[in-house]
Amino acid sequence: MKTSTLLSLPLSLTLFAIVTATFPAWWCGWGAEKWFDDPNQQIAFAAGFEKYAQTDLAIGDFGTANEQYNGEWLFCTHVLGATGFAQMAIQHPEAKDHYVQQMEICIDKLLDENMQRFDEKLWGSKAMETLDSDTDHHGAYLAYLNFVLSLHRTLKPESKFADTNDRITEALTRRYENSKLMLLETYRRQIYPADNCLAIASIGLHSRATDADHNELLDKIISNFREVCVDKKSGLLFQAINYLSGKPVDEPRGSGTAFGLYFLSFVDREFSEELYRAARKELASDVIGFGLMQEYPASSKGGIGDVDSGPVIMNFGVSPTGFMIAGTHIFNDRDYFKKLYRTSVLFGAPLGTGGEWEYVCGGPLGNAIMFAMLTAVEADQFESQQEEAKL
Amino acid sequence: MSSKKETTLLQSYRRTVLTIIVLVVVHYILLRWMDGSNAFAVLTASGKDTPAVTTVAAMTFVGLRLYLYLVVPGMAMARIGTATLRWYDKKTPAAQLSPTE
Repeated sequence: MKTSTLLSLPLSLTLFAIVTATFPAWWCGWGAEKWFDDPNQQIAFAAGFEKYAQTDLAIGDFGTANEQYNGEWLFCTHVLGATGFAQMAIQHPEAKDHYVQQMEICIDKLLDENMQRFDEKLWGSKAMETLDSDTDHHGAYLAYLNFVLSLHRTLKPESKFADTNDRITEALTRRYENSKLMLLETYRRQIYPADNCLAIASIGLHSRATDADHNELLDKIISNFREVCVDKKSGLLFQAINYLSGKPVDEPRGSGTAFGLYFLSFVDREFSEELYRAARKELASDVIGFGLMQEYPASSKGGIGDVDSGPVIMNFGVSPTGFMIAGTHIFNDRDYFKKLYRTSVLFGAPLGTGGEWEYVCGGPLGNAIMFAMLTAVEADQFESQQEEAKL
Repeated sequence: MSSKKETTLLQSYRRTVLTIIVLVVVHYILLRWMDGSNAFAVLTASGKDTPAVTTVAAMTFVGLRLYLYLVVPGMAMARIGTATLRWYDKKTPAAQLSPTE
């Protein structure tokens, strides 16, 4: 028998296995370091995203087959886009005015009545008309909007949105104080810890950007939040809390934790890092060098996910994988960043042309999420920028 | 005889490389088309009213991309490896393990 006949199959399989285990990861990870070290990479993505900020996107541009979710996706596209531009302004001071202007384009759209419909429909009242009362929390709209407004205030203390920012912050702090559970309802009788992270961040940022002192209340809110919303076993955030008992009504999950820790990093780095370490330990994994985050920790009952997690396949979730990129960037975890980035390249199909860069398969929301995650500011850098802005 | 064998090996290499080039080019054309036509936004926004050509192109693109990135490199190396082994086997009769062949 010839050598080739004997060795052909084992050689083929060995070569296939070796190359498949190494080459695709190397290929997709090419240029990952640029997101930390080359400012032009972020600038190109910002330029690519500007077209979404400037286009008049509508609910019909999203295809979840559910008008409520389409409204939320449209809203989140502008929230995350504005956040991305704020991060660009922090990291690229030479172009701060331009990015703040882009941010304002997004905020103007967020304040539009049409943008508030998804929230109005479930609450039965208009968020901005309820600021003087506390019966309807409107966390879905106000927490997200106020986070962006406070961020804008940090960058531009004389913000044209200052009055709105003050009014919403006052309403949110009062609603926290008056809430039996010291938690904000996203929709009537629905409490989501991840959404509360935005409300908390918005109050903290407002406090830092203005003379208003919410620190004592904020400490109380965060302390209560840690007690009620963090799973003692896994260290992850519960996805939902019962509005009456304060007990969890869903498992601790990756999508909510990765999303929440990103926003908490703006005001409480230590807590955010605790959540990041827990998510890294409980949920982070990789397959042939491609980072994949699990949606449910091993200690939970598991599940099939929902609109927040995106499709969950073999416990790997689309949303936690995308959201976790911010954590790796904030806490300078380059090793895992590279793995997650490879996954985003494989499935998102990025394309850079003419100084612009975007994920071809991302659509408006996918690009908004990745824009915010990939431009996330390292915690130390953000704190020093805030100090500078105050001086 | 030797020159004919070398040509066969070269042909095998060439075929593998050409296949990869064709796949890369088709992938790149689809990528540019998807970007230019905003195909994924159309796909998510239009639901069942999405033009058939967009759906087919998007599915082809995603399938081709995963195949090209995850499967093709290993497969190409396996083909090159086995072609080289066969060529070496034919070139050196001493490499035969059994006299019955």
